[in-house]
Amino acid sequence: MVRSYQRRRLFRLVGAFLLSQASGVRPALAAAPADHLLRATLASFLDVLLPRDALSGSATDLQVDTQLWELLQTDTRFFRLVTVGCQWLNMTGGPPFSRLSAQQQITVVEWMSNSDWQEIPRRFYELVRQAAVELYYSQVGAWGGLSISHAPQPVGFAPPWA
Amino acid sequence: MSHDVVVIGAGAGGAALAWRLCEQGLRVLLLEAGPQFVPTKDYRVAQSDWERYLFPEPPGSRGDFTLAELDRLDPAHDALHSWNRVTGRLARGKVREVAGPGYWHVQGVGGTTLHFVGESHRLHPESMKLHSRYGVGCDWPMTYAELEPYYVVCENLIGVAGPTDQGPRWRSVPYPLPAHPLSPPARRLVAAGKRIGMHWQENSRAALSRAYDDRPPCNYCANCSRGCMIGDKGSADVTFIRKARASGHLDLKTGCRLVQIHAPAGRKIESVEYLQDGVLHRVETPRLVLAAGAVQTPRLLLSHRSRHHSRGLGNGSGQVGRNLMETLSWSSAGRVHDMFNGFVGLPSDAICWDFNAPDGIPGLVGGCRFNSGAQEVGFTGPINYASRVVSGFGSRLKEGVRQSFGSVISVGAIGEYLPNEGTYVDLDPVRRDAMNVPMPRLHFHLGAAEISRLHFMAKQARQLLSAAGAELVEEMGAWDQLSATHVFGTCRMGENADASVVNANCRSHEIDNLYITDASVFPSTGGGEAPSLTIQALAVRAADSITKE
Repeated sequence: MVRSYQRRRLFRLVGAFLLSQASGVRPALAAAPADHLLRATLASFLDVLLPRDALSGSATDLQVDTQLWELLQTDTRFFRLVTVGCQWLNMTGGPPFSRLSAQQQITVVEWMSNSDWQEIPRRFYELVRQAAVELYYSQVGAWGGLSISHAPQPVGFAPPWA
Repeated sequence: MSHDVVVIGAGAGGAALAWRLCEQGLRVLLLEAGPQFVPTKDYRVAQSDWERYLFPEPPGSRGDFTLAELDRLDPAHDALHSWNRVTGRLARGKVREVAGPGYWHVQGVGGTTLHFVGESHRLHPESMKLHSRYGVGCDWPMTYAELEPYYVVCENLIGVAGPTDQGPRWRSVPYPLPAHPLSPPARRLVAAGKRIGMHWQENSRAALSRAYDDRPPCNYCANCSRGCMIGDKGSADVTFIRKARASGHLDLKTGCRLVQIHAPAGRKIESVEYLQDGVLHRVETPRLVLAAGAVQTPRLLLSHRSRHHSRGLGNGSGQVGRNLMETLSWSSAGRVHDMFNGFVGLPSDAICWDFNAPDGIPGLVGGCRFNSGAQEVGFTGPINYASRVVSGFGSRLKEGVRQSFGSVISVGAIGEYLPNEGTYVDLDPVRRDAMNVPMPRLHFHLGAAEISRLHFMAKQARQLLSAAGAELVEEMGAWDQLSATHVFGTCRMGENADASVVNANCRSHEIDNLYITDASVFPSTGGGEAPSLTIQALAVRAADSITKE
């Protein structure tokens, strides 16, 4: 299996962050949610990052959740980070993240995206976003509305160019 | 089968030398540590997920090395920090960071030319006389005029495409192929340059602008560094190696690790041992040529200490491993709001040589060049736009990618890097490879002149983007990111045996049948010129000197 450069970079970043957060991550993992709850939370989060619109499907429409789940099975550190991040998403005091209203979900993610770089919510947001856009935009189905319609080869992009 | 010459390394220098020797009837054994890549199978540029993959890295395709501690970052130069719109500041610590592997290279048939974008540059003639004319660095033991015929040989074999006007880099004949059309981002830089007095022109490129020598013309897919699937890029595998194979005189073996160099009598290497598929082979070496690059070549020499060579093979001068020079790079990228096809065309298709001469930058010695860099730095697909240009999430992210895609232009710059005492290769005292050989350890230090040069490069790039009406979205530079693609100097050539490792013909001062034909022989980097063509010209020149013996 060819491991992408971006995947390797992602795993390195996850590892470095978890190393600095070891004391905070381990206790939280003791109360890790079941896989089905984790997957539902992650899928909802991904669809907040990359929602469906008139020109292209959502993250889950393009199976980004499934691909990311498979990716998580290949790196225990990334799995730990996502587990803790999803736990955090479900700790708003209301229903689980996946059952919040769309606007409530956006509010939570907006807060995460502006939180402290050194804390888990922000790093979860950044690293899952990075993985998600990579998996999402590597599919032609995500390219609606873009000025590119095919991979660079085998036909290239012959001149003249406007 | 006996051989006249054994060559270690099938990259730019080893391939060019092997071709020239084979062409003249010598039998060459070429040992390559890495694999033979198969473009249609190994390169992924025809798949929709191509952006996720850089050049492939199968086992054995990268040499071992370690990195010594990097420089602390002086806040006085914080204007040089790397950042982008999505991540913000890239280096958040107090020490220079390693970007990717830090030292980008490929082991394989074709070497690092497999992932280069294919700039094909001659050195500025004045760059070869840095010490005598400007009092810094080191002179080359030859003139531009002596090297010029060999540049021509290599350009014709590769099929270099470029414009006639080359300023001080005078040419005895035109390029074999006309220059490529400028891509949309390059045209923006050319126009902006006119407004601020920068002269831009088509870059000279090892990519075919027309069908040439049974190879197809470029189809402008913009992703040269991920591996050229169609074979128009003049990497060494489809040019020198292909020709050498056709001669019938080349014996090329891949997956071969050099284990031992035997020089029992001191001034002559008698044989080498190499490992292939777990089997140890020993071959006689009437002549041995090392072409393993500026990191692995000094490692091989330093790790061969003996009674006759107490400091390493061919290292009586103590210069092996010293004088390492890295890639002093900068890039600024910005969005323009009326261009949406910046992902097409040939990477680095336009260049500005205005500041390239050793005295080209006011107040400094050592020049630089600027080039169009949008495709080269990866703005060729939506993943990079979503990762580097458009921040946020949700509908704002998706719409932002749609509105910005294809709109980034980028100015790249590479400058002279003068040798300093803190930048060198030695053997790691702790880490060894699977064969118990110490790994090469790379030490990098940016001198004051390099940092001043970076400030100039950044200032000029920003000024150009401003003139193009671009809104900055990313800047990356060597101040806080170690990302060396060109490394040089660790077995420098010279006339003085006490201050250099090889002579002008790339032959060891101490060992009569040992040659080095890679970038380790460069006495200076030049003012940002890409080195592959000069490596090849030197190798062909060395081959001719071997043939004449």
